Amino acid sequence: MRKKQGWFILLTVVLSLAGCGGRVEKGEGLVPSKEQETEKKTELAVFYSGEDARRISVMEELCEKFMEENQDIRVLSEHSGSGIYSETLKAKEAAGEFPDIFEIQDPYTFAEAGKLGAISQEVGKLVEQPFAIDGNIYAVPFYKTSFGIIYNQVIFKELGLEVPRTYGEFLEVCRVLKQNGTAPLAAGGNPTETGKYWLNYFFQVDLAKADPDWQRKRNEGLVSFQDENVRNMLADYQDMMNGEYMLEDSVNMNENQVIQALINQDAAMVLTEPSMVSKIWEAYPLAVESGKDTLGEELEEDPCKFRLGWFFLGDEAGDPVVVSEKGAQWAVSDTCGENAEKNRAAMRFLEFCYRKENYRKVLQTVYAIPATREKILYPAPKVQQSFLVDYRYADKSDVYLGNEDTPEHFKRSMYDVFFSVATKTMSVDTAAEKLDEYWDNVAGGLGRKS
Amino acid sequence: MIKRKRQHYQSLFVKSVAALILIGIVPLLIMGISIYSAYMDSLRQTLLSNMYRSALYVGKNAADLFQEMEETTKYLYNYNITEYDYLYELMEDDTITQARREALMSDVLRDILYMNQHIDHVFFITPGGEQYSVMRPPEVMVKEEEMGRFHEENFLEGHKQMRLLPTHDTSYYSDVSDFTVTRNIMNTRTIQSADEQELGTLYIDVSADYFDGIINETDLEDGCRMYVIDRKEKVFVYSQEKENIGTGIGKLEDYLPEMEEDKQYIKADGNYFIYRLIPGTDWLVTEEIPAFNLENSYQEIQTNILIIIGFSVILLMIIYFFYSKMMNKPIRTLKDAMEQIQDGNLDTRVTIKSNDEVGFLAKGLNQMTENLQNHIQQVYIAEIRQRDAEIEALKTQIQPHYLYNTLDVIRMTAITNDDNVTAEMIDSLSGQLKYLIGNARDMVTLQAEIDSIRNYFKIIRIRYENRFELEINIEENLLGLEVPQLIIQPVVENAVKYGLKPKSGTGVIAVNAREEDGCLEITVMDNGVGMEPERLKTVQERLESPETVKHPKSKRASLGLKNVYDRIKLMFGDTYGLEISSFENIGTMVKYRLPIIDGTEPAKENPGGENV
Repeated sequence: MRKKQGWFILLTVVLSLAGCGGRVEKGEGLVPSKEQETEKKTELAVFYSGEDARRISVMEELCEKFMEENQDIRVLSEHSGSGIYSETLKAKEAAGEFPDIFEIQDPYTFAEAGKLGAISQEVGKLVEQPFAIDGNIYAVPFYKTSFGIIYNQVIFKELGLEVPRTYGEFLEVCRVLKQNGTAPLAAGGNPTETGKYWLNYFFQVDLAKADPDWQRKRNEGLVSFQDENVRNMLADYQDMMNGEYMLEDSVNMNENQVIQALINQDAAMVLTEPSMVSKIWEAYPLAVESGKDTLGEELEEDPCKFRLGWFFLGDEAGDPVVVSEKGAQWAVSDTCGENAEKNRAAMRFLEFCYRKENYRKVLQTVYAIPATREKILYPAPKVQQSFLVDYRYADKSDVYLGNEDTPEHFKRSMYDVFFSVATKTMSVDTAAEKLDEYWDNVAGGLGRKS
Repeated sequence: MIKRKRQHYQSLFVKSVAALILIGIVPLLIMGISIYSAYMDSLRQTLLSNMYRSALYVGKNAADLFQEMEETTKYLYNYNITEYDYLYELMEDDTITQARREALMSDVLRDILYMNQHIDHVFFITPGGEQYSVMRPPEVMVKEEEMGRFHEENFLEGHKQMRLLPTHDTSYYSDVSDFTVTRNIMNTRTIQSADEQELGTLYIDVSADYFDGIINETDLEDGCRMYVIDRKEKVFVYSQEKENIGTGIGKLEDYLPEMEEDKQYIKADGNYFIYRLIPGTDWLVTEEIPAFNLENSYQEIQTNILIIIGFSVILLMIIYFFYSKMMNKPIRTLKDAMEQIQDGNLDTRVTIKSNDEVGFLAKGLNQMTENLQNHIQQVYIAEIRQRDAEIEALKTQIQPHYLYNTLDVIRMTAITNDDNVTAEMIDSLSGQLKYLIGNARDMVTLQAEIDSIRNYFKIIRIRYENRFELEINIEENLLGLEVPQLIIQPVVENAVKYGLKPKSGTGVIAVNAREEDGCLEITVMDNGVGMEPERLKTVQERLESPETVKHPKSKRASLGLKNVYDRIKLMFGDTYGLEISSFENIGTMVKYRLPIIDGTEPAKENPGGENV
């Protein structure tokens, strides 16, 4: 009897072990899924211009390093690729993928549209001239740049030319070069912004010097592109770009072609930004050699065809025209500004970028001018150093076409028009009319290519 | 009969078999079951894992497709339409005809259409209701009204992300089933409009057959079904049963809440549902595995394992049965022997040759039975002796005083008649009777025993006219020792009867006593005729033979001696006794060996020593 009970108990155990059914049973662990491993991290979408490959690499490096330092933050960095940065940024917004922290060229309209979040005062304090509305900082410059003449010291030496001080001297140098069979100047580069440096040189010399608030006045309708002085400016520009001193067809050249022309001594000078130095150096390492032997004696037979030289182009009076251009600015999105966690992460990211050792790396890559209050020095070839010194002591202007005062939509149209002017496919008068039209008709302008 | 059966059940054998089975089989069973279930678990896990991989594969492919669609739908933001940099420029250009715009739009949409072979139909609907549509050949006229209705049903204002619409009827252009990818295309003229203003909505109809392709690649097991469910809308996005596509998911709806994202399958109503959320969507790739399908696949293994377990259990039971039986055999032998002994068969002996505890028990039992037997014999014989003595005593107890008085009267008469001899004989007889009857007890002093012999001999001397002499040489200090009563007299009587009487002339009987090796040694010697060696041998054999119970009437003469011998042996053990030596025509000597018992010491209670 007892034994029967025992068997019965055993049977029950066996049955209960063998099968359970009926209700819903959940299970996992079939295949270890990777997603589950990732812990919760603050995600920070970083978006920046992909126009310059070296900047992409330095940004990626910075993001990696930042994530190593901040294990709780995941940075999703993305660059705009070859597209026009401002357009890509808008498309991001349109696709509902507006980044948290991004490069911005036109903080004003974005801030007006309520797309920007405030940047903390701590970060604002790190830089010179943060972009602010009503005391709220909406953008901080990442670095600054400028433009000046890169020239071939080898040719200058051969022809016994001196660095010109005034615009008149400059034209004389051009004349001599031309006489000796070398095109004095090359233009080109970035196709969308071809000639923007020459334009701004003339803008500076012809307009801004006398009237720094010209753009604001244009906004208020006090001045017009069809004014005499502006027409003069456009004419000067057209003469320069399409004139005798410009290498033939160089307006249509891309950056590499321009560099090639310089190295081949087809052209002697180019008005450009300092980052060009590093590009030339990369393409032609001899360009930064001193041209002297170990004893400091000049080499008799210079193997170098191109040696980098730099000067700021002066005006008629001999004052160098030095424009302080904001190379890139950082802004954070409104959602990022509202989300405390993301905001903290974004501020940490900005502080990280401005930290000396990281910032130096950025500057060194693009040979840019630091935008921080703290003076940052970085190793650069001699020509770059002299540029930096000249820049520091020069009388700088931050007024230029394409700065924050320039309406965003006008910018692209403006370059199109200027390109047409440069190639002489549009007369100065038509251009002036068009420019006024675009400026006023920001929203409804017809972007038809000509 | 029942009781016997019950006894059988409670026997050590059954208990030990039961215990061994419990000890041996239960762990085996538990182990077997746990191994079985662990194995089944891992097997099931493996099977499910394989199937999960299929779901994973489908999910991954679908996710890849959606990733691609994500980019495809953004195409409109990047595209340079022949004369326009951006879509908004085309849409806002009121200088061109609607036909021209349609042509240009078709080009863009056609680009999208051919980006993936599964895209059947692409259309774009502006907020103003303008429709642009392209499809793969053969092209048909779209039903604009239906398409408009579809748009109205699915349009979500202000939503900027790509959305997936479950599989639906596409009667607006064909009769196939498509699922649709849609995105509102914003006007990117300014950042403000990019946020708020739609240029239109892009719809990409993707053939539901797309899933057929990837599911067919997964080699689904027979009976398993795979479907894709929209867990928000609770409809089939894709099902292998075409008629289910786009319909409600029925009973699956009950399980949906259970399908947590961090789990991978559920088991409901016996069926397994493996699921995988397509990343970035609300779509679940679900694989239904009917329970029997899974069970079938491991039925054989299950049977094999059960057979092995069953076989082991039976084998173990058999081994245990025989082992237990073997172990229990000596115990049962012991038990049987015990039962026989209980029944009184004391001759039972157990033969067990093992050296273990059971062997020891058997030996002990044998020894015990033997001892018991001996003891019983001793007690039994002593009892008989005692009874004999009592009968003897009873016989002589009849009016002893009357007898004494009568004897006294006769003695006085003899004295009166000057017959002093007779008087003396009677006096002796009277003394002897008093010793025999009055002092009937087991132990007496040697002095009393000797006195009794003197009395007896007085009569003998008179009877045989002083032919015989009695010599007693006993040291004074030995006379106080105690000896069994009437042990010397029978021997003296025998000596007279068989030794001296047949001899002519005088004879002497000498009784000596001395202490020798811690024993009291008494010798009774006569110089009578002695015995022939054969007779001596017979007498000795009779003395030593255990047959003491019977009364051989013919040999009554020797009974006295035998009686003495037995009594000494019984009372004091084999160390003591008497021995006879005799030589023809020289005489006979009987030597007693007795323990020294000092009667002057405080008297020990002699069992049965009460005077009668």
